[in-house]
Amino acid sequence: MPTIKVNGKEYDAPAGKNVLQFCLDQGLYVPHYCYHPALTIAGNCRMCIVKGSGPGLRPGLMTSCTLPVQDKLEVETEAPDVQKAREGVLEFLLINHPLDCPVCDQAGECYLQDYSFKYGRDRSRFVEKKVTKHTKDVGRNIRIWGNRCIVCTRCVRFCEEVAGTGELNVVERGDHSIIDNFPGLPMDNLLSGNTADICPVGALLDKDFLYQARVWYMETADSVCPTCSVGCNLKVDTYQGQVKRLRPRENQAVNQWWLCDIGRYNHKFTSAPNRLGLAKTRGVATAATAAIAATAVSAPALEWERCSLDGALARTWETLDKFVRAEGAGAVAGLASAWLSNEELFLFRKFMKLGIGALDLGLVAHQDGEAHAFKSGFKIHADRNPNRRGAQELLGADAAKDGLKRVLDGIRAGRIKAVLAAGGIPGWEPDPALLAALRKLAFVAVLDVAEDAPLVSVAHVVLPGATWVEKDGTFTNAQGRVQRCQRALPPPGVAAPESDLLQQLLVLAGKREKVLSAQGVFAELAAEVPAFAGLSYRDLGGQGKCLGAAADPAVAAR
Amino acid sequence: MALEPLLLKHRNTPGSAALEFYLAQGGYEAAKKAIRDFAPDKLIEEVKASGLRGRGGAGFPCGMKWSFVPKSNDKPKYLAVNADESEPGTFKDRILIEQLPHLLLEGILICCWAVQIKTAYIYIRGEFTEGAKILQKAIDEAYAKGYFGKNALGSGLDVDVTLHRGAGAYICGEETGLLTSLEGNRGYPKLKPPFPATHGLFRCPTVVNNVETLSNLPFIVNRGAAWFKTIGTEKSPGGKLFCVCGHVKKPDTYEVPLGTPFKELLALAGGVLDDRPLKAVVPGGSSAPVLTADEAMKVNMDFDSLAAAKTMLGSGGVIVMHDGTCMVDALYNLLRFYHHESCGQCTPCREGTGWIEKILHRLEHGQGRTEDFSLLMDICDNMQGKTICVLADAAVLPTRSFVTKFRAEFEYHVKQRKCLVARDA
Amino acid sequence: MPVQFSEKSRARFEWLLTRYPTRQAALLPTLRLAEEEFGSIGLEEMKYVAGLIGVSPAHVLGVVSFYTHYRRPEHGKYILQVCSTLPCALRGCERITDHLKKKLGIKVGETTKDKRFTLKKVECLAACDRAPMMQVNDQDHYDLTPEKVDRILDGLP
Repeated sequence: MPTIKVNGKEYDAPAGKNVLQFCLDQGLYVPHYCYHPALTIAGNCRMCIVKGSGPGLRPGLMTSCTLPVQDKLEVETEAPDVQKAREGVLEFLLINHPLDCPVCDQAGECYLQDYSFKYGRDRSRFVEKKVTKHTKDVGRNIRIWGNRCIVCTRCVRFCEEVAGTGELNVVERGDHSIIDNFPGLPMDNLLSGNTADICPVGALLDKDFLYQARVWYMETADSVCPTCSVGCNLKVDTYQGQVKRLRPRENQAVNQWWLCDIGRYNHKFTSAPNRLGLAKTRGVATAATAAIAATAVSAPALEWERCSLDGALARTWETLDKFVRAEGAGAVAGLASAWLSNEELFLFRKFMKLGIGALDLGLVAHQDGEAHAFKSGFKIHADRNPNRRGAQELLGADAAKDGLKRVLDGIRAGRIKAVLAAGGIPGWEPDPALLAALRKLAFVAVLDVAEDAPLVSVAHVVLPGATWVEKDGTFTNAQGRVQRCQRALPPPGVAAPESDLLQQLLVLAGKREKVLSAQGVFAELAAEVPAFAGLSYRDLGGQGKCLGAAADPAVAAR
Repeated sequence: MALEPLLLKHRNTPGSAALEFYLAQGGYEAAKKAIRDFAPDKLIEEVKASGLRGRGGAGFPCGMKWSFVPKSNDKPKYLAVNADESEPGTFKDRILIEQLPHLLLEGILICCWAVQIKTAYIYIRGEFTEGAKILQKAIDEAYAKGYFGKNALGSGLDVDVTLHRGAGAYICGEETGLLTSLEGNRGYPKLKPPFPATHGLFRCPTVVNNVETLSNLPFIVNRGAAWFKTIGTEKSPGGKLFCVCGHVKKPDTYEVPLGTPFKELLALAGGVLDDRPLKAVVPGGSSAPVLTADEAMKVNMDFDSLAAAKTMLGSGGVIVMHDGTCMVDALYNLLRFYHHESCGQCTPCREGTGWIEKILHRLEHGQGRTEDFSLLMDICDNMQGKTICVLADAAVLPTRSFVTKFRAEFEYHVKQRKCLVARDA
Repeated sequence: MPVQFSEKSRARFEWLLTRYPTRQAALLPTLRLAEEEFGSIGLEEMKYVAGLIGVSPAHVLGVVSFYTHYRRPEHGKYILQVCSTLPCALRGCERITDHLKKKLGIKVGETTKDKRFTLKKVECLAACDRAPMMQVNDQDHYDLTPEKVDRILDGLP
């Protein structure tokens, strides 16, 4: 391996790697705009200039992004002439820039601002008229403020190389160069939101986030995307109790640097007016009696009554228990959703098996969407559930596959009289046959997140659950990678993560002493479920681990 | 110093562009000789020995450039002929293309044989509509005779040549901008290294040669490297086409040996227009630093003498200015050019050329400030050597030299808010 | 009506493709072909060429807008390109531009109302020995004087 010197210190460095990336990997500060590790090297911004010398190299200033590591290379990143060159570049970038930071959404996460701190002047030497450029939509989700653009071409290269759609290009030339789409053909690829993320300045902005919040007031939690089984790693940005923005979080094994638009904008349901913040019941006493008398009243015919969460939990347990006592454990079935976390699926099964003794468990899941694949290899799966794979492990492969049909058959046959269903699925359009069957049941208790959710329409008890941004937990993506989502917000009202609700049911059933944190539940899960053996939250870290990783080094390497 | 005209021998002879005319003058014999008498490596050595330096601007030794191309044939090799003549003050290639297209084609054959290239493109600037027609006709004639195509000129080598028209962009005269443009893109210069010799057109080994450079080859092959070295100076052998323009009585292209004193060149061009005093000379196309009259009258026109005078031979475009020239206005004109032609890829050039132009516009219009001089020099510092190609440097060199050498005139503009010279057209 | 090459242009296009190892390299010449066939390069023409070459329309737009010499739909029947770079400036090209501005009643960059003339100041056209000069469409005119300019314009069909 070649040895190179950076600022007098020796490093072993991989031959051919660009010096900028090598420095960044070492935690050394080298400012840059156009360079992005996912994209071909453009070398146009000239900000990453360093001083270099070495065999076959004319010593002097050079851009580090275009400089490959070779043996005996010597690089200085902080020499006075390097500093001067970077000051020059920054000044050039700012002469025609509007300096409208107070009204720019990028403020706070803008490379121009950041580098001004180190390389900027306190006043402009440019006294002439600035070049002005267009402000317009260049895509369904993205608008450009041309005056702020530094023509680094990250967005152009992204559309060409990652999305493979090539909707954006630089048009005109010289200092009139500006990013544009072909008239009538806006950027509408399903990765378009990433262009705003990788824009180093306030030129490309996401219309969804426009003027929503100053970034420095927001709080951020690391999470994963629930919208499909890829499980893209993301950051949840919140402000005043609302999700304002989802951003991709780098994970080379899963989503590289990206997040698709379907997932990116699929957070509105978390703060929608239809969110359930209270528990409610209807006809529960009748239902319980009716169960025994076999004259059930379908839930939709009844009026809702408000109820405390504890009361609703107690009624749920008591009613289910009555059914078990009167009809046998086989009269109660469970439906869990592929939107529940691993911990919740584990607890759900535990409650149904230990608390109830139920025979039939089924899995409900969001209907398939369209699958997409992009030039860079990035994929959007047809499976629009974050945790089908986890459900297969935790409910059992058989239950995940055929359980729902068995429950349906059991209801139709009159054997199953009551159902506990857990896990709201935003945008779910369930099989009408399922709803029709549930509607006839004597008792349905659901843990859900939306007032108008399909299952709520057939329920006797509604326990308000949490969306994925309101809970800690893990999802297992399609490749079997167990990844953490972390709570970014409290759930509304008395709503609580399903893991809490299910543990309280277990407490009521006398099968558990207290409610544990998600981390505690995961430890229990890892101890009991072989596929998860050896995993822990600490172990999962920010990038997750594949099932079986602890046992198999080949898996661990994935 | 007299020179038997070579490149320009038949200029202004009616019909000089036709194949019959060219053949009557012994045309294509040099290419035949090259194929017959020289193994490719030997031909490269011969051209190296001639000391022929590129006539496009950089003056890089031609044979050396060829020798950088890998000998292996695992990838196609290309010749890109730079006929994108657009350096202000330069109009020699236009004459060669319009009047002696077969000389160029023969040069192309010789180069292709030496480097074993099967595909050549002539990138001709978009505005040369007439030249493109003439050249295309010549290509068709040469193909018809079997000089190009399969087994070109009986060499056993298949050589194809394609005329490729540019579309109006100075930057495509920069060799890698030319290649990017030829590949069907905006003409952005490429990152170097890798260099075209190994990763050029379509990422394959590529020779980029200027029209005048190639047009010299038939003479070198016919008469030998030793003969070529008898012309010009030791380090700048051969003759050179100088385009003398601006304030001279007979603006034209003159073929003289390299090393000819500027004084003689000026005399050839009939002296300064209206017999006015000489004020300044840009000796090698607009990108070359300007010389004062005193400097110019002492300098010889070859690569090294001009480098010693801290300017360059460049493309051989000699712009002469008499005492009626406002140097502020002249520089403003040039920076308007560089601003207009900056491709916009690199920050310092994209922003710097426009900024300098705006400052010069202020100076020219009586709104200059004393601090503008140090500002201009600092902008130049921040541009020079900090970009992918040398267009930024090409804008900086005139800026520095004009402002430094004619400082008093610039200061007059600031203090008096008007021009020092009486303007006349 | 959607733009489409005539058989002749189509054949020429196919020939162009044989001259380059990539389709994209044929872009600039194909645009020239489109310019000849359709009279100018507008959005429809760009889209059509993009489809032929197999690149995105945005790529073609980027290319067309990078270069100054393609004829665009907004241009008049005659594009008057007056060279304005230093060698021509030293020989009085400003007089020619001023004369044309006055004669045509338009500014540089504009087109006359009857769409007959577009006036452009362009950079060095490599004819400094015969300055001042201008290009009228494809035809070069040298050693211009206002009187000569009048004759040239009056002689245009």
